[in-house]
Amino acid sequence: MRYYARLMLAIFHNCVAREMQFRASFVMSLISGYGWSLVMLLFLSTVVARVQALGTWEQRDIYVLVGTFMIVQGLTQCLFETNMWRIGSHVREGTLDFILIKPVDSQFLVSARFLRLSALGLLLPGVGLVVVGARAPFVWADTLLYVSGTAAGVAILYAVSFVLATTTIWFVRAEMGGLVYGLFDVMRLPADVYPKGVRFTFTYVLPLIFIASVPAQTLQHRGHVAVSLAGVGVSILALAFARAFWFIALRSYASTGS
Amino acid sequence: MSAEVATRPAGTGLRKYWSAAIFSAQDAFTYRATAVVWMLVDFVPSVVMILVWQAAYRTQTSVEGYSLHDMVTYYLATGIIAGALTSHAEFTMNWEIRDGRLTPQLTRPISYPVLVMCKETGWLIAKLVVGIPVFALLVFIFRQHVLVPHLSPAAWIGFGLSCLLAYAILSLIGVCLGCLSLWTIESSGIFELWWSLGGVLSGSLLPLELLPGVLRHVAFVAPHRWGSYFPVRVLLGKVPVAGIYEGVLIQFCWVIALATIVALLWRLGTRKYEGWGG
Repeated sequence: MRYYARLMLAIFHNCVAREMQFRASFVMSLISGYGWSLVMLLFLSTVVARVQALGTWEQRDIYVLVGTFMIVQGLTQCLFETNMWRIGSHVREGTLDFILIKPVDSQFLVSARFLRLSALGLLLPGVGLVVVGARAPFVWADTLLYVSGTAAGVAILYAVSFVLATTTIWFVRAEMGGLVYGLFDVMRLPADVYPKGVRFTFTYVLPLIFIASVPAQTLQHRGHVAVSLAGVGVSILALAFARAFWFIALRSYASTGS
Repeated sequence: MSAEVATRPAGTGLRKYWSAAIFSAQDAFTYRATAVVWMLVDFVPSVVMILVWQAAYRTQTSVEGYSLHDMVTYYLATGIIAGALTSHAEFTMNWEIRDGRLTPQLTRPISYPVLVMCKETGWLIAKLVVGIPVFALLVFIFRQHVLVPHLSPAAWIGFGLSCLLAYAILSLIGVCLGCLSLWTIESSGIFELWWSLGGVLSGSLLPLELLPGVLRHVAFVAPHRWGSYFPVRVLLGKVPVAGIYEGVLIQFCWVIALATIVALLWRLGTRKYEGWGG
C-alpha cells in the first residue's frame, strides 16, 4: 500500500507541473467544467419553473441532484477521465506493452496515471448547490448515507467508464469511452422522469440512477435506507466486474502497434 | 513555377481539397463504429430532453404554446440536424498545433483552414449516414408524438440552403476557435466553455422562446441561432417562405463575416506560432 501511496504522490507532483505548463488552458478548464452541469441545471430549472414539479422533484431537489452529480463528475474526471481516453491510444500504438511489463498493477496504472486537477473546480459549486437545495432538518443518518452513496456513485461511474474504454482492446478504433459523455445527461436526471422500462434498465442493468439520483433522494429525506445501501453494494459489484473485464480483455490484446 | 501554375488543369486547386474530404470520409467509413458512437452521443441529449418534457406534460398540455408533439419533433429534428452539421475542427487544429504537426502543413501549397474544414466534411458525411438509422429508430419509438413537416417546394429549397449555410457557419466558428490554439497552445478548456454556452444559445437545450429573459436576448443576437436552430425552425414550418430567404441572406452575411475573421486570425496567429513538439 505504501508503494502505491508513494506512486500516487509522484503522479500528483508530475501532474501539477504538467498542468502549470498550460496555465491559461487550466483556468479555462476550471471554468468550463461548470458548463454542461450549469446548462442542465438551467434546463431542468426552466422546465420545473413552468410545471412546478417533475414527478416528485421540486426546484430545490433539482439543485441537490445537479450538485451531487457535479461532485461525482468532478472527482471522477480528476482521478480517471484523462486515463480513460488514453487507453484507446495505448492499444492503437502498442504502448500498453510498456504498462503491462511495469512492476505495478496494470489496471491501477492505466486508470490513475494522469490527474486532471482542473476538474476539482466542480466540487465547490457542486457542494454549494447541495447546501442550497438540502431540506431541513439536518439528519446525520441521511447525511452519512448521502456521503457513502456519492462515493459509490464515483465508483460506479469509474467502473462504467473503464469497461467502455477497455472495449477498445477489441474494437481498436471505436472510442466507446465517448458514450460516457452521452450517459452524463442520463445521470443528471431525476429517476422519476424515466418510463418504467428505462428505469428498470438504469437500475438493474446499467445502474446509473445510483450515481446521483439515489444519493440526492436520500439527502432530501425521501430515500429508503435499503436502496441507499444497495447503491454501495452495486458499486462493489461494478468494481469487481470492471476488474474481471480488464483481465478478460487483456487476453485478447495483441500488441498491434509499436 | 508560374509557368507550372499557368499550365495546371483547371480545378486542380480545388481537387486537393475534394480529395482530402473523400479520404476523410473513407477513413470514417472504415472505422464506422466511431461515427456510430459519436452520433449516439449527439442524440442522447435530445432523447433526455424529450423524456423530461414527457414527464413535465403529465400535468399540463401546453408550455408557452408548445405541445408535447411540438417538443418531441423539435428535439428529434435538432438531434439529427445539429449532429450532422456541427464539425469540431477546433479539436483537430488544437491537437495538430499542440503536437507540432502543423509545421509541415505550413510548407505545403494549401490553405490549412480550408483543408481542416474539408476533412471535417468527410467525417460529417459518415456521421450523417450512420445517424439516419438511429434517427429513424427514434422517430419510430416516439411516433405517437412526431409531426410530419408539410413544406412547399420553395420552403424545401430554403431548408436545403439554410442547412448548407448553417454548416459553413458552424465550421467557420470551429476554425476560429482552433486558431486560438496558435496563441494558447492548449485551448480545449475554451472549446468546452464555448460549446456548453453554444448548447444554450443554439436552441439545443430549449427552444429559444423558452429561455429566461437576458439569455433569450443574447441568443437572438449571437451567431449560434443561425447554425442548427434556423434550419430546424424551417423544417418544422415555423418560418414563412419570405422569412426563410431573409434568414438565408443573414446566414450568408455571417459566413462572410466569419470567413473574414478566420483569415485575420490565421494571418496573425501563424506569425505568433512557435512550432512546439513535432
